[in-house]
Amino acid sequence: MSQPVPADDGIESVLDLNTLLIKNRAATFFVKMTGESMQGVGIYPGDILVVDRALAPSSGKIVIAVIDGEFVVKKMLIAPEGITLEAANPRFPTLKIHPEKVDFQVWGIVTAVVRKC
Amino acid sequence: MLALVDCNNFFVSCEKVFCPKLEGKPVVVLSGNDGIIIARSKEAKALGIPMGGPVFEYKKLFEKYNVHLFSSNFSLYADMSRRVMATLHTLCETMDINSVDEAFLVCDHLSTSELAAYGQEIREKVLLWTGISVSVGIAPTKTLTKAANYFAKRYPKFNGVAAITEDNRRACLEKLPVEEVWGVGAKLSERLKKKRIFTAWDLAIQQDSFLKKELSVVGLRLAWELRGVACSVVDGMRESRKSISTARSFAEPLTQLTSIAEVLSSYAIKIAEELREEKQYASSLSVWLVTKDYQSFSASITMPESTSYTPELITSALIVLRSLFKEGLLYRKVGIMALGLVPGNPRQQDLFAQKERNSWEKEEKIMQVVDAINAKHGAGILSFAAAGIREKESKKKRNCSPRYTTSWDELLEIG
Repeated sequence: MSQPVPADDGIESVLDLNTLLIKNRAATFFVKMTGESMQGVGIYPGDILVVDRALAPSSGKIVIAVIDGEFVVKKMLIAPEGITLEAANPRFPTLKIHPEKVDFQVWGIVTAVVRKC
Repeated sequence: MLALVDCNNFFVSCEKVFCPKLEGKPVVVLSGNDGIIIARSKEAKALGIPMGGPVFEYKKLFEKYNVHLFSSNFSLYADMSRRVMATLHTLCETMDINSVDEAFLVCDHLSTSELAAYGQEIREKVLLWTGISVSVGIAPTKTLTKAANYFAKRYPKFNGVAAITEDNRRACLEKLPVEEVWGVGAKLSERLKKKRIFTAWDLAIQQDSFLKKELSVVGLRLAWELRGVACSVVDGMRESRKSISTARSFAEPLTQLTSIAEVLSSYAIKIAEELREEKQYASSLSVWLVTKDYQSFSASITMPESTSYTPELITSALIVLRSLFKEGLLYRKVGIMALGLVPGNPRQQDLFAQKERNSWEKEEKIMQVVDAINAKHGAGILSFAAAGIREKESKKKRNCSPRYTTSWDELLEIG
């Protein structure tokens, strides 16, 4: 059964978390955090991270990175001297990335954290 | 000009995105209850593991070289395919999705000097957005793009992109073995070789009358395409003499993918019913989306096997929809057309839909039962879930990777 459609542009749609959290569907992935290394920035075990592969990495961003084949979640700092990966928990070490010694790649940028209470 | 974008070792590549440790290792994906090899990494190919080979013959070799085995994870592969196609759609308005890991893109707007750069742009964007590496073959016809893609994959010096233009066409075709030409299978190539046709060039220069007699009009078209004359059009909507379609305007404009997907799925269900009534199978599906201001986007997909099986039609239609859909737009209409209708029961082999003979017949029986119930109780009483891939009946999938992108319970976990 057809309903008349308003003639102007004033159509508003219901609030949808997808539009809030996902800018680029093709490049967005969800991963689950299992460790405690980023609690200082409010990422806790069990949280779901929204990860965008298409965003350009920049200093200060929280990234999913691959180091020698292993995934990590860390804050990435880019300085002239090189790249460092910082945890947000004093119990976890800061990693300095030596490109000759280690295979390092950014997998994606964390853009949101989802937690159900 | 057309660009054929083809994912490298697609199923293995999908697994590697979520398990980077596999890089550089021999990896194999299995199907048919883990009995058949359907994908191999570069390292596995180097060990001599053949496509389509039976697993039991290679068990010892797998153990000896520590080959990583995965049961096919079609939920994952289909979702990654949607992402690759959606990424490609940001680089190209008009494209034909040819299979789960291939698409033809129209790039008429580029000059010859811009072709290689466009190919690299495609590779970089798909790799960045999805983690999947692709090869790009650029040429004036589909058959030639397949040839160009062969060179792009085979020779590292091309860095994944190769173009065939009139300048290098002869040289390329002389280097292309005739069995590697798109559409020439093992049997045909044996026949051709007996007639001293060994390369694609040999085939292209044959007399038209000879080609029509020996290979029928299909072979003639193939030769014309090798000569640079396009015999099939990429327009996002394949034409066919017979087709079944459904398209209706929405009661009110829709903007959410999930809502449009529901509507499209209901159309796909109807089309499947009509196909079965007419004892026809669809070889491809075309989907189009029309925005509120009458802009139209469309693309089509070739079915792994001609089919009237509802879940497969829904899945394929949704793959195309995902590649067309743009966030934030208002849509007024979605349409779907089943094309390339064939009667009876063709058995094109395709490794994506590796089926045993009995499971094919089982599916036919399932659909007959579904139709009977629908007829008795009213249409639609048995409706299929709009999302997700039909799970294979095998519960013996010991080595299936998690459905990282389609199941909340199976997300990639990072410590």
